[in-house]
Amino acid sequence: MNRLVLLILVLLAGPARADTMIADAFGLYPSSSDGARAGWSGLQSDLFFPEETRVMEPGPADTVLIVFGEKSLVAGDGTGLAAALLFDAAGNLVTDGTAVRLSAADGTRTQRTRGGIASRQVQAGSVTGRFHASAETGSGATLRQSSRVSYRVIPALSGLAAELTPPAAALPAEEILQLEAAPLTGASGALPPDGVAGALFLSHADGSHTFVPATWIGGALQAPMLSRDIAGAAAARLFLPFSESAPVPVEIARLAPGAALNLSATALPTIGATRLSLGPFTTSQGHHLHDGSPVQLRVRDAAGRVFQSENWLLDGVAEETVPSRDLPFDIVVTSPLGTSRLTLMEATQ
Amino acid sequence: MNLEKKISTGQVLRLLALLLAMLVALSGVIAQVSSALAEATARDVTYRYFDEALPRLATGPSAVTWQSAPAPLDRPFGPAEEAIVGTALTHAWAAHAAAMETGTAMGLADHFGSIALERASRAATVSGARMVVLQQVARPVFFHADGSLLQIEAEALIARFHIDETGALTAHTVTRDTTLTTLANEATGWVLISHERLASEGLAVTYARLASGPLAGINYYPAETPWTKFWQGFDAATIAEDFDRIAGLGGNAVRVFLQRDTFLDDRTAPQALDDLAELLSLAERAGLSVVPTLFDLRGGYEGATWANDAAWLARVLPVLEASVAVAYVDLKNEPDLDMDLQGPGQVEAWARAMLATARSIAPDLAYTIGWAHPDAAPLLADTLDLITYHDYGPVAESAAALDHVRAVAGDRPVHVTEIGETAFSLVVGRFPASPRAQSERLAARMMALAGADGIFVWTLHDFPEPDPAAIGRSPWVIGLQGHYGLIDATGTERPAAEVTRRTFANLLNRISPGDAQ
Repeated sequence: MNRLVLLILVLLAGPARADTMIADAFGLYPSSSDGARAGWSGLQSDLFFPEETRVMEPGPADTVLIVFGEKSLVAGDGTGLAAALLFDAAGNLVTDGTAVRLSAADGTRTQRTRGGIASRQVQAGSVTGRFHASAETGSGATLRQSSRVSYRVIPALSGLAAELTPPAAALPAEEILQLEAAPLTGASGALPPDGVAGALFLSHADGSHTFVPATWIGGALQAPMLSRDIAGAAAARLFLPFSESAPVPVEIARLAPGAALNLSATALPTIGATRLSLGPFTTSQGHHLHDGSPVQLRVRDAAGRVFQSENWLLDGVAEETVPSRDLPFDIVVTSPLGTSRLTLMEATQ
Repeated sequence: MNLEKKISTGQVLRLLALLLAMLVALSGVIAQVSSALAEATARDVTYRYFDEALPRLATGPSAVTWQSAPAPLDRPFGPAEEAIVGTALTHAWAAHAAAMETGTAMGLADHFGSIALERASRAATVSGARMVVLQQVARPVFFHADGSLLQIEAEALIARFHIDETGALTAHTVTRDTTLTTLANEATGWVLISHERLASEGLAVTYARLASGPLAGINYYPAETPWTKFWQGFDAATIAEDFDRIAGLGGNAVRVFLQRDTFLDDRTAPQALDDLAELLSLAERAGLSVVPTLFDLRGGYEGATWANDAAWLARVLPVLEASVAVAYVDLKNEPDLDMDLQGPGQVEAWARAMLATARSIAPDLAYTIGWAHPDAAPLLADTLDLITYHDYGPVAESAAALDHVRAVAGDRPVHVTEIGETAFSLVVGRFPASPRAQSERLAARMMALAGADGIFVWTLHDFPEPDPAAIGRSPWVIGLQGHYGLIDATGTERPAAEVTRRTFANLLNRISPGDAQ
């Protein structure tokens, strides 16, 4: 009889304690099935046996993560934030009040966690350079450290001043030029980070302007430009985000002809014409004048007829077909190298 | 010669049997033709892009409400951050709910990282376990100066439940949890890296007593704008006129339907809420109580959509609570019909969660569910303020069904919120029905339900163009559904209207059993 009563009571009972459902932060699970999940900190409430509800406390810190930002602080008044996030071995946020030592260039200070996070502001200081921050907690066997993170302290761009160095002599034409500038340094003499951008402006005598993007690498100005079609006097200025240099006079030399111009001709009897070939047009530096340079020709034949043409150089040479075979030709050639006069006496057949 | 031929009784009976057989055959043919016509009128449409083919989901309010930070933060947390982080949280928990339903962690990595991803993935593997975050009231407690790390405390309304392998609900709880969530701002946006439950309290369930006495009502749509057209084509003048007609029938109540998408979609909801307030005002002026039926034409019960439903309630219930015209709220029309397809446990879990949410928003309103069949009455009976059901079954079973539901309800009121008969006549003014047959069947039904505390008739008007979204495209069904009105398409009352008038008078004037003692 007693066994029968016991059997009935067992059958009438609710879920066995081993099979009860536990509610936690991520849902529900059968209490008998997931021991690891039972170690998740926070409230774990038993759906069928509320008196079994418990709050799991986290264990000691096992993992320390550090988050640091901004990555570049401006010397003098920049402020960053170092934040440490601490978890125990089960992945739970550590108990509020856990002491964390946060280290950076401005020293080490202890903060206490709230919600697993401890943080403090980091002052940039006046010394520029690359620095590291880290966090640690505990000591001895319980010591846990974060990895180190780096950050930079850079000079304030607003303190940078641009200064162009006047060229000692006229700058050559048809060359890649690089104007000189004083090294760009901050108030403390430190170089600014590579990549500071600015602009070089040349204002020419004829009212035109040349714009050259400028960058500073290692404190040195990088503003290469090709001195083509900008011969003559100009005023150069350097622009930075917060400053502008005084204008500096710059003279860019004009092109001068090098060797004498060769002239050859071939008769074209079937069409009553003469094929002229002039060149190479060379500069005083020994280079061919660049392809596409304009050349005007004015040819007067023996009969007094005048032929004019606009031409372009290719490989330093200009070619033209003149519809006449009445030699000699009197030829006037105008190019960026100036004007020359030539006489053609004979043409090859 | 007398050529009179005597016709025997047997011949007459055979003739009648033949006629009957022809009628039955004819109705079968008509039904078949209707189905064929319905299929034929459903056109094949080819779409070029998925975006064109898929229905555009209504985007509703965020499931996260923000409070100010309790202490100054290292970085400002303004409206833009609230919107972005609120969306991230809503999507993360929707993904979590979906993962638990599907049992796969795919998709969680878009919203969770680090420890939280591990835990969410593990939670998704527990067979039958479900969790849905319905609402959150959050405040930031830490925001890194460079915007990379955020921690929030929240009060979250959360439903947890378990569905066994048969689809039945075996456990269900709705709690208000205090949570601590840590988020990292990664390349793809905010992800949850840690989430802990700090505290929890169950919701206090308060049951509201119905303020009204017996209700004699009409399920209402205007003749020209039934179902999905109602709120789009809201016409206060027509509604006022119809409410006067309902009052003229002796009715003191009207049951109306709030489509889920209309009140969820931010594009349509503001106007719809204004129209709802106006409808309640019109009802009050006409002396009618209102039974609003929520979430009408809601498709699916997936956990990922429940937060939208909770936001929907937060939007709609204050309007209802502010009106003295609302008698009680019908949470959902006929959800028992969804149980075969969606699973009984899932539907029940949704209803329990929505009831708990509704009571937390508007505790002074009374709530019920409009079951399609009286057999469903025991479902969730422990959570409802009154029991309501629909009765389109055999009239001979109506009284017994009412007794059965009365036994379930105990001392709570029982309302039959849908009864009705079609007057659709296709053949010789009598088949399958007629206005006279309508009135006779309705009278019989109402007599059988004389003991109910409330009766609502479907419906006031015939519908010249019933909504295919609600009833399908079969011409047979359209014909039937389009002729349930007490008032026909010409605006003339049918005989059933007078039956309704008499029944309503009896219902509203009767002495209750308590008063008689």
